[in-house]
Amino acid sequence: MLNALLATLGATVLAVVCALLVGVALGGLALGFLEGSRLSARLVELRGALPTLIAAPLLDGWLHLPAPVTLGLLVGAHQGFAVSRWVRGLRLLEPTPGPDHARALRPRRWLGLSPPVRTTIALCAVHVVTLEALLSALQLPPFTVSLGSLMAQALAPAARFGAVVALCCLFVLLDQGAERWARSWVGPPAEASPP
Amino acid sequence: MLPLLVIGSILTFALLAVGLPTSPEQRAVPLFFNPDPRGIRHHAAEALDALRAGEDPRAAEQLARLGGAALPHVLPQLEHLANDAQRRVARALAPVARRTGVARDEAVLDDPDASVRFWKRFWQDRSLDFQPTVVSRLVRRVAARSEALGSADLLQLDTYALPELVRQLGSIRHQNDVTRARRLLHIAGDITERRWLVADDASPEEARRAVTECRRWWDEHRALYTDVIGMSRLTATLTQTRYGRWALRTLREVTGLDTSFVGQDLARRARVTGPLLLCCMIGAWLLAAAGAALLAAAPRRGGLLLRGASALAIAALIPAAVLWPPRLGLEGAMAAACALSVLLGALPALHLGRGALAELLVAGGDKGSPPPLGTLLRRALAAAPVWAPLAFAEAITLVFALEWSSGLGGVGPRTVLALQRGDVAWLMAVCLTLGVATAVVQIVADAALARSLRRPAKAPEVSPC
Repeated sequence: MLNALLATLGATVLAVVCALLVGVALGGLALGFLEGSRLSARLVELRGALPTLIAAPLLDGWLHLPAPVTLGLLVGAHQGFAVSRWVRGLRLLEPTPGPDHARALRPRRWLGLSPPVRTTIALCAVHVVTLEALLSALQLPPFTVSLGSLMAQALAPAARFGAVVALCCLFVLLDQGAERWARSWVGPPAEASPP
Repeated sequence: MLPLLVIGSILTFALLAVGLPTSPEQRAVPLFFNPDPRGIRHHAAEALDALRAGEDPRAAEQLARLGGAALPHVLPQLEHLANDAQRRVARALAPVARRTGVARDEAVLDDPDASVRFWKRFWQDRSLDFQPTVVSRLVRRVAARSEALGSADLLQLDTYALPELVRQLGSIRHQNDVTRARRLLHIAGDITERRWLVADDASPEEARRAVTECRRWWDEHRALYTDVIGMSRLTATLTQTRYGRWALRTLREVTGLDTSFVGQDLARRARVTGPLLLCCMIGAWLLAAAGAALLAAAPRRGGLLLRGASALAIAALIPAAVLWPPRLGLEGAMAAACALSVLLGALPALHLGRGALAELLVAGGDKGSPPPLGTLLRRALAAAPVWAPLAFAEAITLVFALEWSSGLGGVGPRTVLALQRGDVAWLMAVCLTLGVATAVVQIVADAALARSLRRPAKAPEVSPC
């Protein structure tokens, strides 16, 4: 159980880091340059064309990495492409968008967009475990002992319940940690400027 | 759009080719570029060299397999071989003579010296028949008039006639085309010892299926029976590859020349997957917007609600997706998809509601007295286009899992089977269809987003202090 939890936790953390790096970099490109915006759109299409359920066995057959690393990278890239669209979309939706797009590239600005960050963390956790469970249930590679695979294979209701509770705790911990981290970077809310 | 589709197909094909289990025969063919394409000239010379060196059952078998197509490259060389080598080559070609019936007395073929004399005489008499123009005229005659008029001549040309036979199969749309296909496939089937039969009362669709099977076989074996010189060598560097074969086949299917077995199966299964996806998307979209608006209206209680609801969503998501009770039926599965959509939409909705979007939605307003719920809902709906293409990819995985666990005949179970068996054709069709669908969703979403941005929003009242 501990090994399974560690495998899932490792995959989730890798996915979150990967998603934020990819997402912030792509989001910055998408905001700053027209080509970046196009690239972001194409990557979202790629994300749709290769759902993780199809991409995971392919990536495993190609890279031959440990299963948590494969799943972490895959889910991270998937969610990273999503973050780039979040970042671009939310900035576009801002009622009073600043004329200087370069400002958007500042770190504080990015981390100020905490909903995409936090949604990413939550979705990464859910996605990793769902994928582990699906791959295990469908007998597709990468084969690994993880929280998801235990859930898919566990026959006793108590074991399933335990795995689900463990997953919920994992999510809450990650979510809380992310919120504190984001707040420490963003700092107190700025004073509203006079109209 | 088309260049993107081509680039996307190349990338996807590369990933599928390296990630899926492949047979040694498949691995022997290059993936995208064949620097040294080979044709009948090369294969015949290879077999001839082996037989020149000594007894080689594999080379003899290969020569017999190459058949009539190899004769223009082998028989002119017969004079220049040593006597023993001549006998070996003649013996290797004996199955071809028996198959085509060119030897009046088959006992000649069992005598090594007589067999050599037979083949030398055969080439003196018949070498002029082994010309592309002659074959083309013969095939045209058979196709247009009657099988009896030239089928015997074509059978004697053996595999040399195959390229022209396949080329003149053409498209099958009317009853005349069915008749032509029946005649040509009958001869091609006799030459290759395969069964591509078209019944007398066959419909154009049935005939097209038989023609499709023949062309697919030809895709795999073209290099054995055709020569690659000049421009054809240049094109063969691309067509004698795994991607080239897939692209040619897909092109014929897309243009309606061939029956698309994968396309038909995909269309049939999409009738199950489509409604499920639609339920999932619409439900998730409405929920995300409503959740965002509701939580924006009550931001202070959002924290507790957020974590509780997210944890509940996660707790329910996995069993719902993976361990769903089987045998739901389509209606039950659609209900399940709606339930899944709630979960799918729950997380983004809750996060949207609590975070920056809520601030953006009420930006400029007094946080202590948020705008009416209706206003928030409208603005939250305007944010949905940002999220729609992203939810689509998540929904696909959930719907595939739902189909698999509930025993529905949708795209999902067939895709899982394709992953297990390494079925590249199916996976390419699914991936490209999903890619195009995501692109359409994204284009529509971006258009909706642009429209909502162009529309002059009513500025919220801002407190002067």
